[in-house]
Amino acid sequence: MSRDPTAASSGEDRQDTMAKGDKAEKAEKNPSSQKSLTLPFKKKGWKNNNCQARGNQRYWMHLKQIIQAENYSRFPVDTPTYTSIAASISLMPPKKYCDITGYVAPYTCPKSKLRYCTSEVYQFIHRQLNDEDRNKYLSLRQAQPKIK
Amino acid sequence: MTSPDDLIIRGFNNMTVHYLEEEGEKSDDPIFSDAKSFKDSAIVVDMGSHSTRAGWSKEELPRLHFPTLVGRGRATKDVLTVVGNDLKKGDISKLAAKSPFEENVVYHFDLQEAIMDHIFSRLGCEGDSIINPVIMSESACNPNHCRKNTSELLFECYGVPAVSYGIDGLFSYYANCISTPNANREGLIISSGHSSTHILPMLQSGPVHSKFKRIDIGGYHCTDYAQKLVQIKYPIHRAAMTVEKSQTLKENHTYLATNYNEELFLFSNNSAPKEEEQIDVEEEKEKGEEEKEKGKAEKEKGEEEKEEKEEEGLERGKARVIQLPYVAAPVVVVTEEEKKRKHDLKVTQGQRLKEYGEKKRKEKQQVKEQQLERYNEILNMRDEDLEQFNEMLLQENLADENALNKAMEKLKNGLTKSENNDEEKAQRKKNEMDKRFEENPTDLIRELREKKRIIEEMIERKARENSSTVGGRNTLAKRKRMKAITGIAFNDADHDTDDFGMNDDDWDIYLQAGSEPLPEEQEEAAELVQIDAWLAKYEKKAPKKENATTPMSQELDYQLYIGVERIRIPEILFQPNLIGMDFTGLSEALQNTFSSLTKPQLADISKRIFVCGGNSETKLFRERIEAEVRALLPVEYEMNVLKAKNALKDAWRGASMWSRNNSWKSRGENNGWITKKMYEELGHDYLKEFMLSNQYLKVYE
Repeated sequence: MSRDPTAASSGEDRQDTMAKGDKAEKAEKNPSSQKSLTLPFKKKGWKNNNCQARGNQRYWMHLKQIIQAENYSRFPVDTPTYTSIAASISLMPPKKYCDITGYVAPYTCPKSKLRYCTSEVYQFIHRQLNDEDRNKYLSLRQAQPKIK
Repeated sequence: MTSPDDLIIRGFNNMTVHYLEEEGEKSDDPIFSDAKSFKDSAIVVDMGSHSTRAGWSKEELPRLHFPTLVGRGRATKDVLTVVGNDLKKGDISKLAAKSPFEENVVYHFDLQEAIMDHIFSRLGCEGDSIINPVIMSESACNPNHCRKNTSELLFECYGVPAVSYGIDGLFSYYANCISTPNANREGLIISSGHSSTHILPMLQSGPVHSKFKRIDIGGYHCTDYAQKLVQIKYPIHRAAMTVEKSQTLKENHTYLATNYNEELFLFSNNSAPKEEEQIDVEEEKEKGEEEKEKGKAEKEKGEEEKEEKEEEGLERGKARVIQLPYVAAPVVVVTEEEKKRKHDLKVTQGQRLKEYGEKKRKEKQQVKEQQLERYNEILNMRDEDLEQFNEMLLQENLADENALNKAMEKLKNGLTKSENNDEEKAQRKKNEMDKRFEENPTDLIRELREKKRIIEEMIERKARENSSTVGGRNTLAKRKRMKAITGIAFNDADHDTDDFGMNDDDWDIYLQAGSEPLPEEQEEAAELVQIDAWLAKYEKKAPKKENATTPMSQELDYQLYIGVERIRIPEILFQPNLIGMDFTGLSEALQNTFSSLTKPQLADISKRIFVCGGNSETKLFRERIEAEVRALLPVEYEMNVLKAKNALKDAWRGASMWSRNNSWKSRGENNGWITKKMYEELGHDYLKEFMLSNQYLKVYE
C-alpha cells in the first residue's frame, strides 16, 4: 500500500520525461534548428550593428528611412538613384472601368461615386449593396471616402 | 452586357469546371555534402523578393530554390530559425514568417543572414570560413546602405574572398542573348518580378543607368488584386480564398489581353446569356445539371482536349468556372420513426393553429350576432318608446333610424359572408389553382413568381420612398400622415361642438396617425403571404424539384465564376490606376523611355526587346509587349520581342555563366569582383562596376 503514492509519482515523472523526450525528438527531426547551432564557417560573435537595438529587439531601417539616409540630393541631378528611376506620374487620362463588372464604364453614380456600365449594374449598386460593400469596391482602386 | 446577378447566380451552366489545385507540401531543401569538389567554383545566389536560387557556378542549374521567407519561433531556450522550403504550410502563419525584403530592396539584414546561413549550410560548406567567392543579384539602383550591409555580412561574418553584384534582369539577358564575348549587346530588358517591374535599356557600351525605369507593380500586386476581387464577389468564400489559392488562380487562369478594350467586349458577348434562355431559371438549372452529368462521363476525354487547347492559348476569350475545394456535409440519415414523429408534430401543430383560427372567427361572429340582437331590440323599442329609442341610438353612436338600418344591413351581410362566402371563395380559388397546376405546373409557378416579384418591388419602392429624407413635405410618408389626419377630422365633423384639446388624450391622434399601414398596403402584404403559401405548396409538388439538395448542388455553391477578372488582374501592370496608383503603366513608361533615346539608339534597341522575370510568365505577356511596342515605334523600325527561356532561373544561370567567364582572380577590365582588400580600402559600400552591374554612387565627402 505504501508503494502506491511513490508509484504514482514515478509515473508522473515518466510522463514528464516522455514529454521532454518528444520535444528533443522534434528538435532532432528539424534539421535546420540543429544545423543553425553549428555553422563552422561563421565568425563567432559577429553581429551586424547597423540597426537600433532596444532591449532584445533590433529595429532595421525601413525602405523610406534608407532612402532618406542615402540623401540622394547630394548627387548631381541626373544621377540614377533608387528614387529617380521610379516611374513618373502618368500624364494619360485614366480609362474608366465598371467597379462591379470590369467593363468599360461610361457613367459614375453621383451618390456612391462607383463607376458602372449599365442600368442593371446601377440597380445592383442601389438595391443590393450596403455602404460597407460599396466602400470595399471603392477601396479596390483606393477611392474610398477617407475619414478625417 | 451581363448584369451582376448573372455573374453571381448564372452563367455556369454549360461550362467546363476548372479545379484550383494547390501545390502539395514541398520537401525540405536538400543537404549536400560535396562542397569539397567545388573549391574553385563561385557560389551564385539570386535572392529575389519572392524566391531565392542558389548553387555552384560550375553547374547549369541552381541546387536550391526556395521562397525567401524566414520563420522564427521560440520552441525552447534557443531561437528556432526555419528558412525556405523547411517552412510548412502551417508554419508560415505560426512562426510569422517574414521576408527580408521591402519592395525589391533588402532591409532586414538579420533575416538575410539567416537565409545566407541556410544556403551555405545546405550546400555543405565546411571549414572556418567560406573559401568560394560569392556572386549576388541585386535590384537596379540598389541603395548603398543595402550593399554595404550585405558586403559586411559576407566579408566579415563568412570571410568570403570576393563578392560581385549584378542586376538580376541583366543577368537573365546575359544568359539568353549576350553570353558570347563578341555578341551585340544592344537591347531593351523588361524585367517583371514579384514586387516591381524594371525597364533597362542596354547599349553596346553597357546599361544606360540614367534611363532605367521602375514601376512598383509585380506579381505580388496581381495576386493581391485577384484575392480582393474574388473576396468581394464571393463574401462567403472569403476565408477559403487564401493567398496561395489566389496565386494559383492568377497563374493558371489569367492572361494578358493584347487589346484590353476589345477583349472586354469579347467577354461581354460570351458570358451574356441569350434572351431565350433567360426565361426560366429553373429549367436552365436542370439543363445545366444534366449536362454536367453528361460531362462527367466524358470527363477524361474533355480534359485532354482542354489541356491541348490551353497550351495553344485557344481557350482565351472565355469566362471560366473554378471549383473551390469543399468538404461535403455528412448526409444525415433520417429514420422512418423520426420522419413520422416530425410529420405528426407538424400535423398537430397545424391542427392547433386551425382550431385557434376557427375559435377566433367564431368569437367575432358571436360579437356580431350579439350586436345584431341589440340592434333588433332597439328597433323593437321604437314602437314602444320613442324617447328611449333615441337615447339608445345615441348610446350606440348612431345618428338616426336610417343609420341604424344601414348598420344592421352591414352586420347581416357580414354574417352571411363569413358563414358561406369566404370559405366558398377560398375553396373556388384553390380549386382553380389546383386545376391550373395540373395543366401546366411550370407556367403557374413562373406566373406566381412574377407576381411575387412585382409586389415585392412595389413594397420595396414604397419603403424606400418612406425612408428617404429628401423631398420635404411631398414624401409618401408625410402625405400618408396628412391623409390620416384629415380623415380623422372629417369623421369627427359630425360633432357640432368642437372640444378638441379639452382632453390631453386628444392629441394622441397625431401620434397614431399614419403609423398604421394603409388598407392597400395591408392588402399587398396579405397577397404576398397568399402567393408565398401557394409557391411553397406548388414548388413542393412540382415533379422535378426533388433532388434540390444533392451533393451536386453543394458543389455548385463552391464554384467561382471568373470572367473579366481573367484579363483584369494582370492588366494592372499596364493601367496602374485600376488599383488606384497614379504612376505610369508599362506602356506609357516604355513610351517615355523611347522618347528619351536618340533615333539610332532606338533603332538598335528595338531589334531586341527581352522579357524576363517571374511575372512575365503570365500568359501572352510577350504578345502584349509586342503589341504595345509596335504601336509606339515608327513603322519602318525592325522589332523583335524575346522571352527568357526559363523566367525563374535565368537570372541565376546568367550570373553563373558570367562568373565562369570572368574568374575573380583574373585582372581584366571587366572584372566585377570586389575583393576583401578593395572592401577595406574603398569603403564598405564599394561596388566594382561591370557590364551587368549598377552604377557605383561614390560619396565625396
